[in-house]
Amino acid sequence: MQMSNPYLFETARGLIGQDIVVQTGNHIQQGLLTAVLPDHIVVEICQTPFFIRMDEIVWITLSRVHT
Amino acid sequence: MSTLNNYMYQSFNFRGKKKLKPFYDLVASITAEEFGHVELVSTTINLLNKSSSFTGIPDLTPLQNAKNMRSTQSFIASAQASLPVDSMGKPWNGEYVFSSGNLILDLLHNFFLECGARTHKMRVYEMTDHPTAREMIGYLLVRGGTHILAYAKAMEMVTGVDVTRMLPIPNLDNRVFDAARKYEDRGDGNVLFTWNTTGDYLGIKQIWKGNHPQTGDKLRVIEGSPKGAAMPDLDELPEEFAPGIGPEEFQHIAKRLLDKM
Repeated sequence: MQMSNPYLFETARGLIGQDIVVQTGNHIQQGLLTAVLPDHIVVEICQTPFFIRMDEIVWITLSRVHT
Repeated sequence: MSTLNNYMYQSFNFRGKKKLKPFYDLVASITAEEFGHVELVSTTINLLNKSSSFTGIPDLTPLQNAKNMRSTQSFIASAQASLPVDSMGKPWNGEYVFSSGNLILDLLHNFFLECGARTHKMRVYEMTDHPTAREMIGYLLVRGGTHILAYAKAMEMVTGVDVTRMLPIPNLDNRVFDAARKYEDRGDGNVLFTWNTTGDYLGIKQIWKGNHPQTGDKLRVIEGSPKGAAMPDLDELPEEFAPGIGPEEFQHIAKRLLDKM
């Protein structure tokens, strides 16, 4: 199986354990990046895992949570 | 907003409150319930607004998705929270208030208004399957149905005409809606509250009596108001500058509030 976003995969791996913001289509998800797999990432939001397809990601950035 | 303000003005403007007490009591007590319904809908809207923006400094354009959303004003004029407008952003306005002062005409208008509200709710129910929205709509379908019946019975008291034979309008039982069924089963459709604990508005007992024309259940008036639930607190949205109080400012405010108590 060919990985569709090999470089995004490597970049995302470097962000594991950090709070990130992911843009997919018209929506934003913000949470803790817990795992990165060849075709999806796992983001934990309110202690709930979200499995987001790599193909759906438009951009990822680090989130700066203001308290 | 319309049911609340129509009944509110009709109650303020009621001529002959003593002579026609049960009818005044009805419109006044239902006004109080509608206040709660407006808050319920606002809260639902506020809970549904999530994941449209992210926390970031202004130059990161954290509200960038707002341009493609159905209501940009929700991001601009309000901090992704409710405003008194319809689903297309048209503001509610006072022209929607009908307070002719004629009892039969106002009751007939209220009956029509509640049937309209029910129709809109049924359609909105068919537009979304979000559980929060469905729960709110399901509950309001039942309470709306109760109000329709209340005005039908009020008109029967005044004119002798059995308006309940027209129901339900539209011709679909609340039970067909999954989210409404449990409230129907609980008997929420058989109760009118007085929303008052000092003995006012009990005149509604003379209208709200007998049996429910569709279920046969006994209609009940309960003094006071329903138990309600805890008010949800809403997330802070720094990207909207809402509430816009950072940790340092918070300390200053706390100090000033607690000073010299």
